[in-house]
Amino acid sequence: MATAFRMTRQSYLILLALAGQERQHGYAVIKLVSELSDGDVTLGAGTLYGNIDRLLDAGLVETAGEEVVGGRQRRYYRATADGADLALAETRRLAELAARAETILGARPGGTPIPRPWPGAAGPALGSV
Amino acid sequence: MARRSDRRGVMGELGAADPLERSARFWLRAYPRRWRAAFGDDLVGVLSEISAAGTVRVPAREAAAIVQGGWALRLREHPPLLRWLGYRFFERRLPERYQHWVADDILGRFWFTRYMSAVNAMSMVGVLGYFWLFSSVDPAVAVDTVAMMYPSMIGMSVLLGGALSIPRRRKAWQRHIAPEVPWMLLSERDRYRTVREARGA
Repeated sequence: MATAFRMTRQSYLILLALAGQERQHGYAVIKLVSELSDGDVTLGAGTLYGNIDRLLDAGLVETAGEEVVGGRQRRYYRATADGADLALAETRRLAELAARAETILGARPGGTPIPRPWPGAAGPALGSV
Repeated sequence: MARRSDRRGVMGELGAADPLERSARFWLRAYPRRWRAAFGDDLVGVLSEISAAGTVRVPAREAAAIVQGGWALRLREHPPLLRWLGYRFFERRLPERYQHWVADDILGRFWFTRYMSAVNAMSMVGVLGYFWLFSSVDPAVAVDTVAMMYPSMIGMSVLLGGALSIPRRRKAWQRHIAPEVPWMLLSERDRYRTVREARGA
């Protein structure tokens, strides 16, 4: 059942990590989140599963099979269509916020232009993240 | 940094005696039993992969995150107060979305105590009502008597819970979840019959 979802920085990054083509297991999600955040966010297992629970409850993520690797069950996850849509909407919102912030900060006297990490105003396409 | 998973055996398995796994499973009790059965191994595996070699105990921050996640899940799945009161005191069926919570409740270790607490509370209210309406006993004495009886009745239910709870749990399961009951709620005779039928088939 889809419920109202409170998007946090961690849940956004997890959703992004799961919004690609490939299904991911827990450890891969932790590594992807670290890469996406340029090392700023290092998830622990407890935080990861707390967020995945919320995403599963809200219908934004689904389980995508399991395998036994090294004698231990490994479960895979991926974003649902709703999850990918929400990740895209959140990415656009953040890009628009960044653009507005850039306008305000660039207008300060003696302000230096802020280098953009991506070309264009709307930010990167979701598939390229 | 050497990862803990690098130090596993040929099969890469972590035995039940692994101290980190034992520590993780201790903290995992914050989650409902059903969640632990579905995701517990997964979480323990990830924790093992991200932990540095030689880690024998779940770090405090990690343990706090596990407990927070577990209790957040429990609270999310818990029915609202009025529905909970209807379920607990009047055996009202809860809507479908609370079925997981109900299943956890009925299969939980202290279900019989919770059930008897509600039954006893209802009985006590009845006794107090009787004294108040039909008896000349001082209401304060009646309240004192009930206040003394209630904990002892709860204590009895704790002591007798193991032996008496299975038939009650089975009835509760059939009322709130489904006519088919899980293996642990079957009587000895039904277990025997189930095995015999399975062998016959």
